[in-house]
Amino acid sequence: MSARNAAAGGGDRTTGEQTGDVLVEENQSHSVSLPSLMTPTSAAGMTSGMELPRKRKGSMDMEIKSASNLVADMKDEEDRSEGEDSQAKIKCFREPHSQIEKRRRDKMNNLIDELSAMIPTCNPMSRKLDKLTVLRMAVQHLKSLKGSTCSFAEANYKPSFLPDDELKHLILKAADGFLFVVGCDRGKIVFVSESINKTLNYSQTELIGQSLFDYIHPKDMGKVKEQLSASELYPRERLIDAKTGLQVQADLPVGAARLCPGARRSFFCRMKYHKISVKQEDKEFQSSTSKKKESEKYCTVHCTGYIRSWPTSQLGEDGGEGETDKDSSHFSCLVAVGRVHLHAVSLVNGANEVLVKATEFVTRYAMDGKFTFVDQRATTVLGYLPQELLGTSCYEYFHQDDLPHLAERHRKVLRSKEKIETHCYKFKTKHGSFVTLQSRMFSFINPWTKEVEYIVSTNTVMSSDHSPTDRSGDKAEPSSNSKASEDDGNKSLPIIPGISSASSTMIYAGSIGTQIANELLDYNRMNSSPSSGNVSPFTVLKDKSPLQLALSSSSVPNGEVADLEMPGKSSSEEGEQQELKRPQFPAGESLMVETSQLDMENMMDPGLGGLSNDEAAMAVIMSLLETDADLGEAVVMDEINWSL
Amino acid sequence: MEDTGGGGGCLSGTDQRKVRSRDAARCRRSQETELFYELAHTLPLPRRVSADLDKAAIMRVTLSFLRMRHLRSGDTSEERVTDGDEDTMDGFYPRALAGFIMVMTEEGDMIYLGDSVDKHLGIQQLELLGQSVYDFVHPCDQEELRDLLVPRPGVFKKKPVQQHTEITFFLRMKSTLTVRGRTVNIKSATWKVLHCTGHMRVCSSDEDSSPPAGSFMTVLCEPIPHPSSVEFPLDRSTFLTRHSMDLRFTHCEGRVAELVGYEPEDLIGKSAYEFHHALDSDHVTKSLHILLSKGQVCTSQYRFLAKSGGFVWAETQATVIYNNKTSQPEAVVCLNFILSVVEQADVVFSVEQTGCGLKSDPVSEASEETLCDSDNSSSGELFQQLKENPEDLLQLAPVSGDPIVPLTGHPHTLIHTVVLYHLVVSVSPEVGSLIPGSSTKRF
Repeated sequence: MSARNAAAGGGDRTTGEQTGDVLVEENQSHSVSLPSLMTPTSAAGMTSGMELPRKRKGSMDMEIKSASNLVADMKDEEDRSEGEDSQAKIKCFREPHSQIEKRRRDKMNNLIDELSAMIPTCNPMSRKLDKLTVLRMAVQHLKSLKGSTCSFAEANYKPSFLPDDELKHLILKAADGFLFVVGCDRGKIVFVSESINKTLNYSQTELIGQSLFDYIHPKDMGKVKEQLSASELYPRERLIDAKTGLQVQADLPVGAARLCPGARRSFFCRMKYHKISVKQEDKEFQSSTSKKKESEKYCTVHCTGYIRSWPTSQLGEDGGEGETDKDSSHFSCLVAVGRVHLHAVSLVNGANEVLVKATEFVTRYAMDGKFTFVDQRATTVLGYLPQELLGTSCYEYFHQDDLPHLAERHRKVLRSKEKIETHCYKFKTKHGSFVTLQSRMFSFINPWTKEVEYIVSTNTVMSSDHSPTDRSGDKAEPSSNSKASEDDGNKSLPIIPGISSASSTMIYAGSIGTQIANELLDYNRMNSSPSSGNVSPFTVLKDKSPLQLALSSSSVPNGEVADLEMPGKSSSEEGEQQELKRPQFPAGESLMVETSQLDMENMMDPGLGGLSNDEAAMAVIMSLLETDADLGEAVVMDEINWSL
Repeated sequence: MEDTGGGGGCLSGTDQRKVRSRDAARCRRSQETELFYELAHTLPLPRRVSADLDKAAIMRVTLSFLRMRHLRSGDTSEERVTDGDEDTMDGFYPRALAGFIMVMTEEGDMIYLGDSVDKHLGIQQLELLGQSVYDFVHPCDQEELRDLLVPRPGVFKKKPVQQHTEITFFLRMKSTLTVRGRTVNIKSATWKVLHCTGHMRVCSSDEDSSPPAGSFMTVLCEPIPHPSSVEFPLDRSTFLTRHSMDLRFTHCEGRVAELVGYEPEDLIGKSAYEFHHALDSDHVTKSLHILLSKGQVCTSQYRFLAKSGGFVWAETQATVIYNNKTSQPEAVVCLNFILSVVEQADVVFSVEQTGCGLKSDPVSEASEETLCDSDNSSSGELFQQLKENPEDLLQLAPVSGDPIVPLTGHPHTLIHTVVLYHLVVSVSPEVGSLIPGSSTKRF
């Protein structure tokens, strides 16, 4: 919407200048007494000269030469204005007028300078040439050009600024594509340009006379037929009403009009790519296509063109092989330019490449660290199918030693627009072993609501040779107990108690993410920006729990952490029950009352954030465990009240 | 020419000098005018067109013409060998394109524009030729364009100046065409978003005509069709969606079902951000920012996640719709071109694609969900089974729309949980062996 405003502003400005300019322009045309030279079209040109004072240099010497010109002009104008009744008006504009005039002359002189630079005969002479000489030479030069290349201008029935073949080169340069003409009735390729060689690797002669459908992906045939025949197409050119912006539902069949000459076409289809390529430019194609299965040797081609009715006589000339359709003297063709979308190729390449060497995979997390998207490459690295990871919290898979660091990074990524890199950390695979990963994360912020939609993480495998026994061996002393039970739980899934203990750690780990997400929400709420309009009901709760405060701000020795993370069986079951009762809000709304105060403290204390992030994170985790165990019941009731 | 020297015989000396210098100036100007006309006629333009040009326009066009010639002489040989066959067909290129070609110099002078430019912007080719592109570009886009035309040494230091550099960007340019096809005055021009794709190329100066070597940008500018006036008919692999400004689906054409598998109800209320492959994140995010800053965008190919696994390749043209009265942005309308059938349909990527995620509300219990997820994934059979009986799944993972009931009060749920635990148990031994097998099969 700011763009809109700016646009309007810009428009106003230019119109203002233009109106002034037009007035002046009129005067000018009178004074020069050659009105035909000063058509209103030049008004735009004048403004451009004024708005952008570029290429001023070199105009000074010309200035002197045109001084006499200036005098004459002024005098002329004097004469005119004396006789005019709108004298006052002109006086009013006198000052800007002379300036505008000067600018106009400057502009013209610049143009003359540029012209002289472009003309070879002017170049050798180092000194400045006067305007008339330059013009004369330009005329000569152009005439000589015309003589040498007689192809343009009068040769064509419609002389244009650029000959067609030159234009074709420009087009091919700007957009890698090929022109093709296809008969609408049978899809016969009447013509295809040579440039298809570069895009789809066919030779021109190979294709002419063939059916287009032989080169189109089977699944796209119907679509292309629709486009060629067009009679069955729904004319839905007015998809939404221009006034209301609502969708127009009425699909009135106009049918016949669709095939009329000049009707536009624009569609995508997959075309076969000719595989046997010897050319170097196709190497990147080759690498990807060779490994691909049947469906992937097609290129997506964007075809834009129009329906043209072709006199059969001309058709015979072009096709050369008796393409003439005897049935009708005019038959319809689709004339289109097909363009291969290059970045698409690279995208496909990328996906293919990474399938071969799975050392990297991409995941998306909700704000609270729950998997919402998992690249299938993760399966080869982690052993989990995407379905297994989705919806679970990533914290459930992190090694406990890494939790503080990752929590800190998680927190950081939610507040930063930058990509955040983690240290190497250990991620528990399906088989119970740990794989060392490093991640680059960034948070995707909905540009409209300014809220975090999710976190995208690119995870690189650093090493994966940690067997589960190794892990338990070199584990840090204090946490060995809980660690063992966790490993136990993984390996001996059949035992029900094992599961419950495993899930209890999961619960704790998973809630770290939730808590960090809440932190951000609280933070956002505190500096509530006008764009995020949803005010949470939790803002009213301002009382602080001294216990939580103490926990959050004090640095805690590791031994204590281990104690807390070692849940007794009964407490873990209790925790599980609480977990079951706790409603999971969508990422944008999930709120936990018991933690929010604490995190606001965290946010507000700069010392904590700057000096001991790890400790703070640890404290956060601990306090969470604490509250989960002790205050869970009451809090859950609160939440239910709020949510319903 | 009018006779203004009619003052007669009683002129003083100064008056006479005045008259003389005026006559001289007039003579010189008429000479100049003559030359301008001559110049105009040598231009490769139809006579009636060139006769209408004013001096400045003649200069602009002449300069542009010479510069284009220089540019063309710069790229020698490589593709210049045209056989006669194609000549008759060359003329079809410009019409077949859904846009126009524009060539710009480093300074931003438009030295060439396709003559179809008036169809897209409403401004005649000759009015634009030789003008500075910045006079027609939205103020907010000028910086971007300038950076592309003249890469600032500091910003793009690492990138060596290549002969051909591929470029794609979106530009707002003045357009005097209204939605209904009328032309308005340039003063009340609106902005039209053009999708520009092309190349930057450095022109080496050669000996015979040696204007300073510069780089030129050749781009194909394609307007993005506004959904209220799409010129071309849409085929059956295209569907229209409407979103609120935060890109939640608010409306979706039924055709989406056959293309991607979703029923419109599955999508409505969901954020469109959840439906693309994370590998396309960068691109999609970039497109979004363009959409919101410029009003229109068209993406390149990206992967749109299909309903129960896999993805389709898609390309989307998105347009911000403004409120008529307040002219505030109101909605986003997307024209989605589906380019492929569902690929890798057996791979689940996102929560939306899992059975649980399909309910629009998140699942209430994390660990429970984990279990049911691992069930339906680790064994295809079980997955099928659960898919066929979605009620089981829903009960196990109640949605938050349902009243949340304490576990103790619901023995029913408890039983299900237990059953599932058993399922996990029975399945898990296979899992280890299944994973490597399936992964090699797939990749």
